Amino acid sequence: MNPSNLARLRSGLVRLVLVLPLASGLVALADPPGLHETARYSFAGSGASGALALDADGHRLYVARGPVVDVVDPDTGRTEGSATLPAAVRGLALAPGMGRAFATLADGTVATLNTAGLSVVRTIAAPGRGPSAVVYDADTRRVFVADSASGDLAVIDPTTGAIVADLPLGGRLAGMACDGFARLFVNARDLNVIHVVDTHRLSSLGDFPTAPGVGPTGMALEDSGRRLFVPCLNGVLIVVDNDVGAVFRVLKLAGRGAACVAFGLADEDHPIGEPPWKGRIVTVTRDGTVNVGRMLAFVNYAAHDHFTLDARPLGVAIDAPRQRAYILLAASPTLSQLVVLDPYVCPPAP
Amino acid sequence: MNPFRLSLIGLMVSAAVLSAARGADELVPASALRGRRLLFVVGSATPSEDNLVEAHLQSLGFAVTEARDSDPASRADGQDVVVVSSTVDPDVLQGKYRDVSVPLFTWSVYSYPYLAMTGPQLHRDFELIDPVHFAARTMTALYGYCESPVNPIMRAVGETRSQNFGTYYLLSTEVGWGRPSRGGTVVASIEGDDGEGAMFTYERGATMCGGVVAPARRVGFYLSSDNFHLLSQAYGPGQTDPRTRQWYVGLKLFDAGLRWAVSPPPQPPPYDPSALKARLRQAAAGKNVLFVGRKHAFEGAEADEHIVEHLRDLGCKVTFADQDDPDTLAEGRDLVIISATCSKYKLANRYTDVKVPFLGLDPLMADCFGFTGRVRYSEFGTHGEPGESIDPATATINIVGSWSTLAAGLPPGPVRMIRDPDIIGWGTPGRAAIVVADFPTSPDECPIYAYEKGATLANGRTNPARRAYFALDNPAYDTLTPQGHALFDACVLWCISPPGSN
Repeated sequence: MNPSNLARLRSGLVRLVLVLPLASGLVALADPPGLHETARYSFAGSGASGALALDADGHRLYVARGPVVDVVDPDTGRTEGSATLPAAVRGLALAPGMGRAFATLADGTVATLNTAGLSVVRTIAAPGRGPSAVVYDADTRRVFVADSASGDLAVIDPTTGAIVADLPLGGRLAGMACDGFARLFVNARDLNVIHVVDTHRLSSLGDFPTAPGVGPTGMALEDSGRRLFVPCLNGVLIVVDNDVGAVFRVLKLAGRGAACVAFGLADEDHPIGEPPWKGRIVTVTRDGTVNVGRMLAFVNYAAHDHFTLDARPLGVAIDAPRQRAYILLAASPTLSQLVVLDPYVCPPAP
Repeated sequence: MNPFRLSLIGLMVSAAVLSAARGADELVPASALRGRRLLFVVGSATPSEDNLVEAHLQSLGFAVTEARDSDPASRADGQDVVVVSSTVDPDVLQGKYRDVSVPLFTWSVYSYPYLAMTGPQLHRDFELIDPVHFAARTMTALYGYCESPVNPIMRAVGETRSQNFGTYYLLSTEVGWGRPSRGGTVVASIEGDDGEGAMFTYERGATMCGGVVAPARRVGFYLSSDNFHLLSQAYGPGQTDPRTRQWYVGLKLFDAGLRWAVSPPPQPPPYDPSALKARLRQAAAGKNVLFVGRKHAFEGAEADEHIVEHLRDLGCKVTFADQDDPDTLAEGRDLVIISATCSKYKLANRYTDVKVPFLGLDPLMADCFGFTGRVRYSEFGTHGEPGESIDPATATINIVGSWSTLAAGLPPGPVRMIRDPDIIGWGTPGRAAIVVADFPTSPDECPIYAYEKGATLANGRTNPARRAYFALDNPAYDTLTPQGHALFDACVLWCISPPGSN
């Protein structure tokens, strides 16, 4: 058997194992066929707010729901550890090389966690009133916290917890990504721009307009750091060449409302474990509609498939090597659920 | 007064003079678009980004009114500019807006012939390159070429030299082009063909195709129905790098084209030989002119003497140089005139690099000075010269650039240049040239044209000073009609006037 076929067989077996629980009626079947849930795990407790982060090797999933952060085995859905923070989590970021996780909290603080023991190292007050999105930049080894209320960007030294800088970018900041080339991108939802920040000089480099996208919410970055995927409130996902700020693709989104988004570089025809090329963009709108966009080439993207979940999303993450997407849902005020799906599956031939 | 203050005043005076001189071809500022009335003519073709375009036009400040392609041309009444989208059905729209005296900006490629902006032949005169049939060509057409950095539109977008730029973001997408008449101007070309106008313009009064005179400014643009969002543009940090800024100019060109369309066109004085001579006398007084001819010429010597006498009568200080004299004689002059009595062979590339204004009279030397390409009888030649031309002798030229002061106020159309049919030279200049006249039956053969300082010559070099070409065979000066004399005077006046002025 050639490696490609072997990989497909392995991929199929993984799907079979994951789909088995379907027979027990635990999960709903996908609609339309092709793109579908492969597993769903439930977590009791606050389901009103939360966030999701996947570690670099895909072995640990950090599931924040209310003030609780669980470490979950993504293969089984089993909780392996848990920490309770002072307030509900709004954003979550991992610093793989440091063994740290950072969470923005609803009480206006930023918490640092030790990922090994899942203990709280410290909490600090954010300069603004509404810290929301948070990213860790491995290049500068700093944490960036966007404030959706004040429009400030706080820069934190993760080793000391000191606030290094507070940049008044302006706007309702939502969604953020670092490209690894000294640039940070931050959505300003009410200004219809993406702020560009020099992460070395900690200064603004200007803005990218999001037009025709209106109301940018989430943000994902392509692996090479040269493409941004930004879902917008007017129902489109814009693809931005972040070398020059050009919106060169506009994908129509099914569903409505603010969306979270993730990107994973892989190809359904590519043997698992080998370097991937093409990829998928998974966008989940507030009404639970999962949109999968496809990267056909570096400059070519297309809407691929969509289906609807039964609850509001809190976060999305992709494990590209294993061709999985994870979506955290606020199933009810007291229940969070984690949905697993394969965004790389092709729709059935017409 | 201290020297610093004196030099500062000098600089300010120079800037003011330059500004006044440039006034004729400057664009209105972007802020001046606010409140201008714009008629946006659309159709029902899909896919369409007319909504994006309209939103953009509004963001520029235009008061936009939408019209359908089936609406009458009277919709243009009272408007400041008409913009025609490629979503119109060209066969419904037809030539409705051809004769409206309102500036028109369009990317409806198939409307170009109806609007007399190009000839009628698809693929030869105009074309819409689509990614289905011409995928490779659409990728080639991502690279536009700035034909002349002194074009006011290119100046407005910040192009500082003739160079490539990105038309669209780098995706295979539809690109339109049109080949304007010689009365038009190619602002940007594609595919390495300087006549393939991705963006081209007609000045008010310029002769378009089929002899139609542009009643107001006209702009053709390379856009298509569904790719407005792909027009190249750099934002944020991309704006800080000059190379990036000069590359991503698609959207800026669109905007600058609109600004040019609504800017006041030049208003050359009407044809009045005596008034023209008075202006020339005023400008020429004390000018230092080098007249280069052939001493003891068998033919044309008398005409040369008459030209020199004419220049002296205007107040110029004229020095006569022989063709064999060193061209260093040109240094410090206000104007160099190369007579057709000179031998192209003996002139031996003299004066090709002079950095002072220059008027050439010999058609067969056009290639030496970068006026035209190098193919004799194809890119330059003569009409009516036995052994040199298959074309009959002629006395009539066709004014196609009446908007320019180079046309001496003569109206568009045929004009008798010399009294009786005889030899008249011609050249096919590069697309950066201002073409004043062609022949009624040979629209690519131009007896009078000029290059602005800084324009790109046909040989690709940057023109160091104003250069004009006036086809005057050796003895023909003495046979010029009054109109011909006026055209000659207009050329001299243009050459010695400040660059950028009309």
